[in-house]
Amino acid sequence: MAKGRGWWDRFTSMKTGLYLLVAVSIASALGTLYPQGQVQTAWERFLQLGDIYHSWWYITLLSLLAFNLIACNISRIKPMIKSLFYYQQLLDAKQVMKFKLNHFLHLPGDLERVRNQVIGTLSGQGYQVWSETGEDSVKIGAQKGRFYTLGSFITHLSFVIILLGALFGGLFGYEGYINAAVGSTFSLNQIPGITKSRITNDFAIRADKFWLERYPNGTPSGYFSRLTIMEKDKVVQTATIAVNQPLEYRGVKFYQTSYGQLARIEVFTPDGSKSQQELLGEGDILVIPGTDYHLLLYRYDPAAAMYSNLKVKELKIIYALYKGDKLAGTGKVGINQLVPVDEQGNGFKFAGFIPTTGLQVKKDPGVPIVIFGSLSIVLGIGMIMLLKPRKIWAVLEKQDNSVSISLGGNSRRHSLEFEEEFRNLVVGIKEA
Amino acid sequence: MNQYENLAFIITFAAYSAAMLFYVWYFVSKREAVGQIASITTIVGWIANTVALTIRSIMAGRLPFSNGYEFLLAFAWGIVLIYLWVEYRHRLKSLGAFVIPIAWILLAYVLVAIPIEQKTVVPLMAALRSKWLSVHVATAILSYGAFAVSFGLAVMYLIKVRNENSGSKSRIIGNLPAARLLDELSYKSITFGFFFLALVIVSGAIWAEQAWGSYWTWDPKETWSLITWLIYGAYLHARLTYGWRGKRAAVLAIIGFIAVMFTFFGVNYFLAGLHSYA
Repeated sequence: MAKGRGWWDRFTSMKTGLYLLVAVSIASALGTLYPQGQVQTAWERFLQLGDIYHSWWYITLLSLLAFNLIACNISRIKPMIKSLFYYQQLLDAKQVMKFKLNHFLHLPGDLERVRNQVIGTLSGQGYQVWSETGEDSVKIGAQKGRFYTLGSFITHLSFVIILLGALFGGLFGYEGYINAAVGSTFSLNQIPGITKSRITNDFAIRADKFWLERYPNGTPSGYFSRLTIMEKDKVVQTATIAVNQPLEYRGVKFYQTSYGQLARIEVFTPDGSKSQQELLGEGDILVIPGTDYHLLLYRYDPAAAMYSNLKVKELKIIYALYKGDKLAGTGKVGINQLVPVDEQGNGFKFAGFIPTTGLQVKKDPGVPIVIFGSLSIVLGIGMIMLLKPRKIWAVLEKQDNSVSISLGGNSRRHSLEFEEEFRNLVVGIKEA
Repeated sequence: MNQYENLAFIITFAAYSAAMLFYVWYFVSKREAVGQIASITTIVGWIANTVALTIRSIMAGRLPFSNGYEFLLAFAWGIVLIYLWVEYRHRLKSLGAFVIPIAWILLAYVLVAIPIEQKTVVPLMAALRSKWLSVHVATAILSYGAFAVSFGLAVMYLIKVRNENSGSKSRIIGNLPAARLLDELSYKSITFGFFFLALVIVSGAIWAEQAWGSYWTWDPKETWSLITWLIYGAYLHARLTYGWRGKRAAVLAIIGFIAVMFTFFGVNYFLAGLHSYA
């Protein structure tokens, strides 16, 4: 017996693993119960309680768990290979009868006949059998479900693969969100939220079209955008995306997340020519060039505007005009009606709504790793669930005009089921 | 709600209520005839449950997986289905007194707390339209059903063992099947549930990745289903490696089911999040 387990042994033991599992569970629960977002006190900031899942201590816990899993797995590779490929162990009669599940019986006949009887019964029940025949005795070993250990190994390894995939994505992936006006073109590094340094291949996206589909009762059933990808001003690809169907190009995915609209405002100079055209959303401000005035687009009327069931000519915007800091006027205006701003003749027109498509743009190189890990963990758990490792040993000894059989069985789990199987085995051997 | 569906629901609820009472009566008296009636009543209820779900599916043109009412009806169905299978395989009628009440409570909740809007069939929201919905919810139904049965078994086990230890020969408790059988069945149930819960989480993650570009967002429902999974994982480890059987395993199984209930109910009603469809 080793003198005392070193810290390495203790750290990579399953017991530590279980404690880490419990700690991760409690920490994860904390993240759902503690209001995330705003933190006030210095303690909360230090512990990053506003973003628990990305806090230093949570990541440390996960890393320790991953480390523990890897170490546990490594230490089990050798015994697993042994149990899968070098398992053909044989025991003697005394050892066999030491098992909790054992039976001793006599059968008439000669050694060879009884041997075939026993092996036949075992094979018939699906066991893999091996034996060693001597002068007066035969040693038999049999087993079933030995790939259970492989299933366990795959399960734990998969967990690590998933964590590694998440880490990889976290380090090299990026994510942003843009409300793109239909007809506009933008490049990856213009998308708000994306960490520019991580963009390895930039390209342009043009939002060509957006549309809504509805159920008969009017609620939206789906919404779609047509996007065109361009590299160096040449069209590379055009595709339609829907809520559950993103576009993927060079590892970057475009998700249809939401939609909206912007009002087109045209500014006119006193001589009647259009000096400017801008897209404004609710709450946006436009400075009228050459004047002290600026325009605040307060609200669409109705709020749903182009997505309501009103006709285009019935849509309006509610606005406020400011001269310097003072409110100069408010009003509601429909499409294509010139609103004078000052005495000189400057004015603006509301020229209609343009749909915007809400796109979430993501690149996560870790996704394939995580999906692979997820599928293999399902495989591993399936193997654990379906495979039941069991071993049977038998020692046949020639007696005067019969053969004695010492039978023993071992199974780590499902002992009641195995006990019944063992009993059936004994019956099967007797009746063979 | 369609009148036939309504009728089927009422029959389901009535049958489960009656079955519950018969099982308790059987548990107390151990009279075979009572046990038979209990089983038959349960089967009738389950058939009515199936009919209700089928009518709804036909009317909606999809499987009944889109809101709280539909889930609860489907979960009760799953619990009773797995219970019936266990009862048939292992002749454990007394388990009914512990598992059928769970299905009953879900339906009672539907009666008192689910608003009428959820009972009318509405078309599926854009965000839920995906083939992953069926996989995700079907596996959830199977896993929750298995965990509910394991919970019933664990409770029965604790009652049985407390009775054995105290030495009192209560006639009722003595009627319970061998503690060891209860313990092992609970373990088998949990293994089954654990596998399907893994499928729930994985299918949810792959679906989320397709729909929103994020396979994991630490949404409370996702997080709590993971916690539930880890608790049952701890149960399996403690059992296989530390020989944690019997009482300790039963307690852990009960804690796991509390986590299941919190994941399903607690998260919806105490914590806000992306998962607010059911």
